[in-house]
Amino acid sequence: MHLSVEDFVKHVKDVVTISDRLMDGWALKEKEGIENGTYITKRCTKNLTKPGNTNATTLVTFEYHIAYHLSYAVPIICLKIWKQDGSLISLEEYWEFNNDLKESNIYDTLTQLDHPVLCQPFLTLHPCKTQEIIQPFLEHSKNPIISWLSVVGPFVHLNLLDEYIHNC
Amino acid sequence: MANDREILREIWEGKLPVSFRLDSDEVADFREPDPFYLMVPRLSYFPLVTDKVKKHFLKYVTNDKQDQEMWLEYNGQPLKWHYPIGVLYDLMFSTEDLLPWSLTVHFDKFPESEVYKFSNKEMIEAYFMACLKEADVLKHRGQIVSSMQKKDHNQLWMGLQNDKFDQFWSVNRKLMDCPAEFDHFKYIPFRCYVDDGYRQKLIKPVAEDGRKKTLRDLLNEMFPGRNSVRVKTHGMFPPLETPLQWLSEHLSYPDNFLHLCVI
Repeated sequence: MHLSVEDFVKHVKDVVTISDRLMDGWALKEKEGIENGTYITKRCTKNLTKPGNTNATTLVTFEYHIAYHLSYAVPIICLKIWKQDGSLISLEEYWEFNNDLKESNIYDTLTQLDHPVLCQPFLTLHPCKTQEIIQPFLEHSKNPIISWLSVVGPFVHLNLLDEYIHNC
Repeated sequence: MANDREILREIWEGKLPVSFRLDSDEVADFREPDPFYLMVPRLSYFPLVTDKVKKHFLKYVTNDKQDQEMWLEYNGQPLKWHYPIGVLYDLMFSTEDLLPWSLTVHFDKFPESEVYKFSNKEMIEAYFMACLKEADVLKHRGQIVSSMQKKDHNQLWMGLQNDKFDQFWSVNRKLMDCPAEFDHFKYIPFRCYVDDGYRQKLIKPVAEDGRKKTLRDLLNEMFPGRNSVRVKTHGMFPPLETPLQWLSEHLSYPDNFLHLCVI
């Protein structure tokens, strides 16, 4: 069972509807003339702490994109992280803030890939395991995108509010 | 299965002469450094072949720039070096220009929103393997790559990195194989470069009625209603009657994708 582009669009629109109610910041974007041109984005500012050193925090801005990957027929989460001086955080720098991924091989899980719509480099959770994760949700969840995000989001500092979970 | 071995070899051996010059604003020495010349394989990636270039120019820039990532520019455009070199050339090289392809080297102001930061070879390898996996998902639902051992993956990567045709193809032929019950892939892995990026689409190599689809069919599906689309790859325009399956087996880049530049 695979997620179709149409279902993806329907579910991300629902995310935006909930987000609007909560003023949570998710916005719908569309690029015309592309089959998978619909995606959603959100920006938020957070303090990142290095594991084992709770005094050293860095204020950063995250930009998340949820788009549809045609080849894998799955949703994909891409992100950019800026420091306060406007420079981007590299894959290795982000790795130092990220305890959850420590066990795995850095380049196999989080890699630089082209955004499926914008064709620009983004940090991306590699989509090759997504089908496995999302499979049960496609059968049982009202909104598989929310269910999937609630599982993989925390790996990249994205935690969904409970109100989303109530809707899936 | 990719049978036309002479063609595979010919494609593999495609090379481009490139001259590298350090941006004059970044020269911190009283002498202008000499340009650096290289013959580079079309199928490779710039970060795999420019170690010597970096070494040559580093001594001419200020100390504070020496730790910064090198990047390349042509005609005011930064080179996206996660595209294979031949693709960048087919996309960017101006017909009014002469060879060698003259590129400007920079150490300052890395264009990080457009260009990948490959700070080590593992990152390029990860990117390359990600492309290869995606291609296999399209061709064989990902079954070949995932059934391969780590040493096969290494062999593909080392074959490309060290420009060893036999080493690369002894593994790559498995990726170019068709499932026993069919004589074609599920979908053709390709990227069609237009505007500032590229498009992909799920396109089967065979039509509903069993007819073999051609490059013309692919372009019709990508650009409905536009008749005069031509695409360039490996520096040539493949005839529109070329069957897609043959094209995919023989003219794909090492990442197993066809890279078609719309002209």
